[in-house]
Amino acid sequence: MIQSQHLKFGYSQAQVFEFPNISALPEEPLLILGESGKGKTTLLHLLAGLLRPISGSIEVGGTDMTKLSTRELDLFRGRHIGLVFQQSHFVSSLTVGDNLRLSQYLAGEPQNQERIERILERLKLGDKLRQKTHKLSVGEQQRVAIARAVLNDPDVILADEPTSALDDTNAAEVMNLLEEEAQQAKAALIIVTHDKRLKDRITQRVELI
Amino acid sequence: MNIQKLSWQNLSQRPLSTFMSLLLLTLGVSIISLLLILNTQLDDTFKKNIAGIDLVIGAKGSPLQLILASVYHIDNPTGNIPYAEAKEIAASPLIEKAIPLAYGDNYKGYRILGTEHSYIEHYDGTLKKGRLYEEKYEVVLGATLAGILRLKIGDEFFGNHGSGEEGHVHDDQAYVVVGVLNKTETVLDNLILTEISSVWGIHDHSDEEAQEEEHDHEGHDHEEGDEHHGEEEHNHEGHEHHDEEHHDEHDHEHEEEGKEITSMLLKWRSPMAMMSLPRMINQETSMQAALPAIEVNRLFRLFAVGIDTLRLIALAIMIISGISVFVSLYNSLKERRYEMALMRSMGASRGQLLWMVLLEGLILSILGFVLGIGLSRFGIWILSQTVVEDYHYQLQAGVFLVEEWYLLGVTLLIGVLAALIPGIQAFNVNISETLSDG
Repeated sequence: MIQSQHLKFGYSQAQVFEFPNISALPEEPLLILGESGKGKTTLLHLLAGLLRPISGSIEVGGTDMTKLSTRELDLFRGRHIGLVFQQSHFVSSLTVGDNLRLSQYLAGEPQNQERIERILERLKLGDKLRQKTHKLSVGEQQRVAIARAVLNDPDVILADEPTSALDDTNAAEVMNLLEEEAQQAKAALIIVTHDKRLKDRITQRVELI
Repeated sequence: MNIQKLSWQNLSQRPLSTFMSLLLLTLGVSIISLLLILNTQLDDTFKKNIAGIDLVIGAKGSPLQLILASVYHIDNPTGNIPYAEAKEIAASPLIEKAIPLAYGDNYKGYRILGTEHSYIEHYDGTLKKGRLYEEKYEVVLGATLAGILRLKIGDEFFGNHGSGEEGHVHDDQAYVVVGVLNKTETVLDNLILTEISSVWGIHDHSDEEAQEEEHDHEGHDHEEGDEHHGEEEHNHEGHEHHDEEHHDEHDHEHEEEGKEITSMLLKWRSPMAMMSLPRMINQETSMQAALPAIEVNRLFRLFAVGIDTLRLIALAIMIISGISVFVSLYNSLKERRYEMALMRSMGASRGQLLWMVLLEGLILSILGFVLGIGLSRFGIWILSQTVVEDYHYQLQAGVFLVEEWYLLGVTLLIGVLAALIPGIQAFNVNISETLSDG
């Protein structure tokens, strides 16, 4: 469950974004649409706690993220928010398994090899555990990114253009997985995109104008 | 998974630049450590052996050679001096202690030194086994020699003439081992010590044979044995003058009269002696006086130029290695900016990222230090083999010097400093901006 109110953000005095209130519940995916330059990614980064708003509040599971210190916010993000980006990035020196373990470690969670293997198995990546991430195909990489996003049982999954770089087949697969995994984790799912293919799947929408 | 493992993985991810940084660090550390060890051990050895010897008198020639021969036993003597004349100086009220030294033969390259018991006392030598020499041709072995020469008490051996291993063998008169000394970490450990009269005896005896029995042993005929070097010639000239006295070998007073020794070690009663005595000896006698402290300082000044140069080179290598670590981390960080932002998004704190980068620098410097120290010990060990062979000097490879703790500090500092700027960049990475650029 995530809820934002009266969010304002400015890169400079002249350019201040005001965002509509956002609210998302588990099992009700929300699509945030909008043209380039309307602040889609900025909103997502605000919701993820990667940026600090000028004013407004963001509540995740009863905690107002805007009131947390930098260190508290880092840990809160690691534990409660799963992030998926347009292009998946990993720590290139580590294997798939170690990247996932790193995610548990950085969030301050116990490192649970069994859980990592179970999730990879579910995402049909069971044999990639010991591979370096750059050896994977783009579709596989995106699946590992999803695995990483849901690994710590987040309250919210935020996805930034998760399908834009993928073909129809892969895009559909990634969307299926995102929805399934969000349901499994009982996490709210918010997707920021301009990908028209997603409009047909998800009915809840907020349009940035 | 933790930060240490991550740093390690990051380093092994770029083996070439890690290898380069490590190589430079290792080289720098090993050269500096090698210099430190050589410097301290040479310093130690030279100072220890010089202790309590204020003045050395010997035949005219190079004063440095006289010191190297008489105090350190690593050079040939300058020649011989009349014992009577040396004793006159030793009798001066300015002198507290005088130890005569007479070089005679060697055994397998190790010197047989004729001297008084006071020489052993001077270096705090104590008996490990047996007793001190009392009679002619009785010898006491230095601590390391007993093992190297495989001699034990009661064993007999023949000396080779002169100081070279290839001199002819005096096979008519054997030395007998009567004692072995404890280790003193001084020149004493590498000498074979005997009565001065043994040194005289060996050569007198040879002369007697040659002249009285007119028995021309090829090797024993010192008059015609022109393959001997100058130093030995001195010896024999000395003996010739006093052939008549050979009959009176048991009369100690007579025996010493007209004899020659190689040099005499002196300790004076007060430093005042330094003002007058050396000049007097140099001007008014056929001998020369050399001050060990001054000669050794001169020798060290000669070394110093080379050591300083090497030190500068090592310093330059250390600085370059620091720069190499910096460049390696800086470049890799430019590529890893996105990774950093990603890790922040996964919950990493700014401090953790800073620590990760600093740790990469630290791991490099710790590894470089360990490898460098290892390399320097290996170098010392190699060097030690040749030094022992050529100079009968031992170098200790097992010691860890106080200065090397400082070296560790400096190495770690270089690692941290080189990682600091990249680390601060990691600390300050703008997550949102970097992720949006990705």
